Amino acid sequence: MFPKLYKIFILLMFAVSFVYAQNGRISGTVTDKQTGEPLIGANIIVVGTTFGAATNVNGEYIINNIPAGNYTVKASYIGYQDVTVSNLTVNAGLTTRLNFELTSSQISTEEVVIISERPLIEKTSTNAKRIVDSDRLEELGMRGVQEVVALQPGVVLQNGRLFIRGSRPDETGYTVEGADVKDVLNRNGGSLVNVIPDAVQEVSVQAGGYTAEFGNANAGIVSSEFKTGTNNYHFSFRSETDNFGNYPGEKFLGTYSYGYSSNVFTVSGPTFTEKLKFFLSGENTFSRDNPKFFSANPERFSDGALWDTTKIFDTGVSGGNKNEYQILKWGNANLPGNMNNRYTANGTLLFDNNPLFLRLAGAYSRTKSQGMNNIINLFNTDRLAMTDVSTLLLNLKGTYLLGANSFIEGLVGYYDYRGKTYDPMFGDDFLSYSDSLAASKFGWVFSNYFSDPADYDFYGFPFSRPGAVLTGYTKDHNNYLTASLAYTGQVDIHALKIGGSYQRYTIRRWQVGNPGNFLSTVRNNPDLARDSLSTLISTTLFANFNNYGFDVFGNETDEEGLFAPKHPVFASAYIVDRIEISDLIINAGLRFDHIDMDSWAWVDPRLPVFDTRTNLIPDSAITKGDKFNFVSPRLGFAFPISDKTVFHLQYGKFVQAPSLDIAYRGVFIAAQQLRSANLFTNPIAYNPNPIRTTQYEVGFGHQFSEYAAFDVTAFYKDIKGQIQYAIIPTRPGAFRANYSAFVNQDFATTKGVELSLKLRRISRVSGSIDYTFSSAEGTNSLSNSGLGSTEVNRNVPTVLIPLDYNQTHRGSIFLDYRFDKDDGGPILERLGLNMLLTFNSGHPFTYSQWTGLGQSSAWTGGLTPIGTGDTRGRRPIGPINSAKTPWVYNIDLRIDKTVTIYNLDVNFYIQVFNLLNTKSVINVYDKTGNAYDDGFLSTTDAQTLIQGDPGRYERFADLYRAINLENRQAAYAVYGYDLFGAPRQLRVGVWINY
Amino acid sequence: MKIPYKHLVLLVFLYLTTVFFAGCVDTSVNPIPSSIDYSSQMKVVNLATGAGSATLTLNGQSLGAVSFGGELPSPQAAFLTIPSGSKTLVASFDNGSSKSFRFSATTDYKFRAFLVGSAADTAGPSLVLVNQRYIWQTKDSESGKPLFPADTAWISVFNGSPDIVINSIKIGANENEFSAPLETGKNSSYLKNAAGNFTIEVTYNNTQTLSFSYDLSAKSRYTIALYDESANLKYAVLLDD
Repeated sequence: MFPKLYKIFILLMFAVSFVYAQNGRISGTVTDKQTGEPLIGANIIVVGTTFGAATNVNGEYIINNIPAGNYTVKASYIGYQDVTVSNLTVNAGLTTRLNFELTSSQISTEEVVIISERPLIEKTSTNAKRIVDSDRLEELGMRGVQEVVALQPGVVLQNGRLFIRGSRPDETGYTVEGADVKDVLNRNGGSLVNVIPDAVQEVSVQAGGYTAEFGNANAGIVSSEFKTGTNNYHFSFRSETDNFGNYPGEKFLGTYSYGYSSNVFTVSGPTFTEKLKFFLSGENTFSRDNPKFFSANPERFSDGALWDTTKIFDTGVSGGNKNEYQILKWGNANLPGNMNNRYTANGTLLFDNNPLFLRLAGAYSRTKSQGMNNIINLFNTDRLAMTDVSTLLLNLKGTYLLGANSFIEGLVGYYDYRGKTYDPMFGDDFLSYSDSLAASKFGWVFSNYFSDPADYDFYGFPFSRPGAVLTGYTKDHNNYLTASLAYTGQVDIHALKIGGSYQRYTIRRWQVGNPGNFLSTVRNNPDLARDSLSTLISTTLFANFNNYGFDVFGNETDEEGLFAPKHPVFASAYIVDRIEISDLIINAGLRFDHIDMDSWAWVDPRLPVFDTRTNLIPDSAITKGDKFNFVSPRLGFAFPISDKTVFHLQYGKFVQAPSLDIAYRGVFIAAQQLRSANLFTNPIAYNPNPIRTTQYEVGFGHQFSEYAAFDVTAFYKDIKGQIQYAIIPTRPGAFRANYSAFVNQDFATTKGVELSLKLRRISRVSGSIDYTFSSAEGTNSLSNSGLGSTEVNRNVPTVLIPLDYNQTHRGSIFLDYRFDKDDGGPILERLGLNMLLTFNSGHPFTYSQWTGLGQSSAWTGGLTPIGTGDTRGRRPIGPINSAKTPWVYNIDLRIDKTVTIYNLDVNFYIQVFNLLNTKSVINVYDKTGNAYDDGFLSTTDAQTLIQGDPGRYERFADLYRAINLENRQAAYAVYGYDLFGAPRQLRVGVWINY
Repeated sequence: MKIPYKHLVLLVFLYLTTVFFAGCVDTSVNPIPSSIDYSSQMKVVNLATGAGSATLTLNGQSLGAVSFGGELPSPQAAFLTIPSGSKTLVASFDNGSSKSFRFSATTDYKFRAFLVGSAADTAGPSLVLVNQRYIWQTKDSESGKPLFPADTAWISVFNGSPDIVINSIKIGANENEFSAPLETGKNSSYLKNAAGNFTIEVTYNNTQTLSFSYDLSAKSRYTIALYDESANLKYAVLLDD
């Protein structure tokens, strides 16, 4: 039984294979040092592994499919002294060149040992591929991959979103251990997997130009590879914190604590047998205060009375008790009710049984987070929505060596995402959210059985009363199965790779808002609640329901029909011929993509149909969206101009699906969007098409000394079919004259130059300078940027404007000064200090004006007339995005010292982010163009408001200045980000290695 | 027994899978049930003048007979717990008439259903529902505390007579005059009074009075129902809680 299972398991694994087989290889020659003659049949082994090769008649060898990492490689030949090269770095997807010159044993009798250094320029890469290895990750001290990626040329990190070479965030792909972990459901992009920096062997960023084996990401690919188990047992433990007893709101060395801590362990070694090696890492990170504000505390009224001793009484305008009051008070530089607690595990298990290699990789995380993102919930933090998410990636990759120069790779991968957002006081018990009886147990007083407490009205500011309901309920369960197969064979100078992949998602969502409406409706309809709750939902409560893959009650369903889960499928086949002629490398490839987004399409897009009786879109009016097939050519060259200068050229076409969240809705909410006359800022994309990009890239790298090199890369991209908000006119006879939808409408042209300068360590100093000049223009910046213009004028923007995230100049300078072992005396030995300067020239914005509060509450009067995402009332002054925010500079500092205690290397470090505590303006108010004043209080709207009801708005201006102008809380609530960068943060840590 | 490491790989894989799946968020818990069964509590009071006793069925289920001026279930019995929602109450009277009433039992409410009116009316008796409180507002519950203060009783008045209006009620020395006289089928809100033995005097048709003595218990609520024709006016003190 068991042997059969094993065979089935192996067969299954090789029946399929892996999308991005991302191991590296070592190639080179072995020659006689004296004569230069090739040595035929010399043995080259990767020490501690079963990898190895023998040279051919030309003295050449290739060792394929080596996991990324640092290795020791040994060459031996009868009659010659062995040569060992240690610390040789193998990068995923690249060839590491290693030539041996052996000395006859008649001349020398000692083995030659060489310590390898990473090459300053990559001679084998046909595109700009930036690699950050574990050493540099440690030096940078950043605890997130995103921050490291943001330092690379061509990458912009702005307001939490990553943009590569002017593309939108959902055009960046992510892989972990070769598995595609791009979040295909999020237009803000991102990775589905949390990676522990201590577990990472390397992070690479390809800002375009990748070979045909990569797909479904037009802008760039961020790849992370985990460490591999070692031959000897190693462990490490790291603990770092910013807690110095200075909470709440008190300073320590000029900084505040944000309740941050991170504890990580790693352990690796052989297990059971030397053929089986494991690496495991676990991490807990906790942050009590996620947003990090400058002076987020309204210290004083204008008359000098302290806020924290002054009672503010409810005016009763919203229906609350006028005798109730609160004291408006919170700690400096933080807002309560924002926390994030995450447990992560990353690991690999390598079974090295040459010619069969199996590598099991896993990544698990569980994150609980709570964010109020809104000052008006300050007195109701108990009911802030809690989000609980788990992710699990299991990847089994296998390689079977068919011969000296050919192998087959296979992978099966499974990814699982489960998430819930809920009221932390009642969890899964949605019926209790608005139940006054349940609320009374916590002392909250409802106005009737299902109506939660009215807001306070504090001089026009609508603060939520304790017990008010702040969230609905959402649960998601998504997973995918992926499999692929690839064959690589070396025929003469051709390294041919042929492969294919298949990835099928299952996506489920159950989302219900407005618990008060749900409860009142079911209580008022007890017969239907008992006998046919589904009928009650479909006839009365449908507008609140957004469910697919779950039935209306929340049971998972796989049945076709109304509530069927979404099953997008991405399949590909590719062929890559990597031709290596001496140092000249040609990467020629062809990729076939099959994209089935499992979207909806109208039978006649100009004649949408809605059944008012059932509140549904009838089956006859809707059909499955199209499936798309594309062939994309890729061509890249890398060749040396001299032995220290390499040139590369790349051309390629890329295609990917847009983020699928735009296309997926439950049948009820979809019908509601269609039938309602209200504005939906987040409409549905019916039958969206893929986004297509054509990219050209040219660059060269030059090593101008033994220690320094630079590379320059210029790029040009054409992007077509990006998603944009549109209004679709209908035919006469349709039940509406038009409807809104997301369509493939935008296009963009981006170009730029990337410069990277690297300085290898010399006289204790190493460093790098990265700089990007870019020009990103397009018809719109993001998928709903054109909403205002489209809704108001019916004008679809067709002219190119600078995109919101185009930072014309952006870069970083990193310098590391470090005493090595036995250097500098006992105090300075193994002491390091490094500094990271980052800068950018700001980003475009549009001066705008508007009058009237519209549907906006007075407290957000300085933002838009209507509120979140709705820009209809705003009018630009001058061309769109013709103004720019100021330049931004930031300096981080890190000092570390390693001492040896017994057999342990103990590294103590201090890290300071924003060393100078610079209050950098990173966003501005549209009306004034600065971050200090939104201009609202000086408008006639504000004056009319205050004078029209002085009793209610008696101290509105004081409160507005304190909350909005000094602390940007309205902007933070509506935009989701601050106008200033984070203040200085101080962290200390210890890292123990064995 | 030595386990071949080929099998060991598979075992480790399965073990890790199990461990990690156990730590995933449980999305199988449903936030709403597929059926929500609300209940109500009721008693039926037969105040239909001239019709005699009534035999009752509720949604086709027999409840039994209730005499004129009586209640079903009996005063000693608890209120009947029924599923909330649409109900059909059929009353077959001793005088041979029968009438069907459709009503909705309000979710979570405790109520009385009064059969009122005169047998002589062409339309026959009618049904009046009087909600008393949520069923979970019991004497022992936190939410019931405001309804049942110590040493206090609550009294409501219901007019079940076909030909009177009720003007006021005097409990001991406390006189409560209704701003609008209670017509047939109308009831007053609960009136707060100290517990103890009091003379209760009801003024009806502006000048006439009905007086009786009653021992009001603390933490109890009562409905005083007047019924039958004015010439033969009767009263019943119904214990609500």
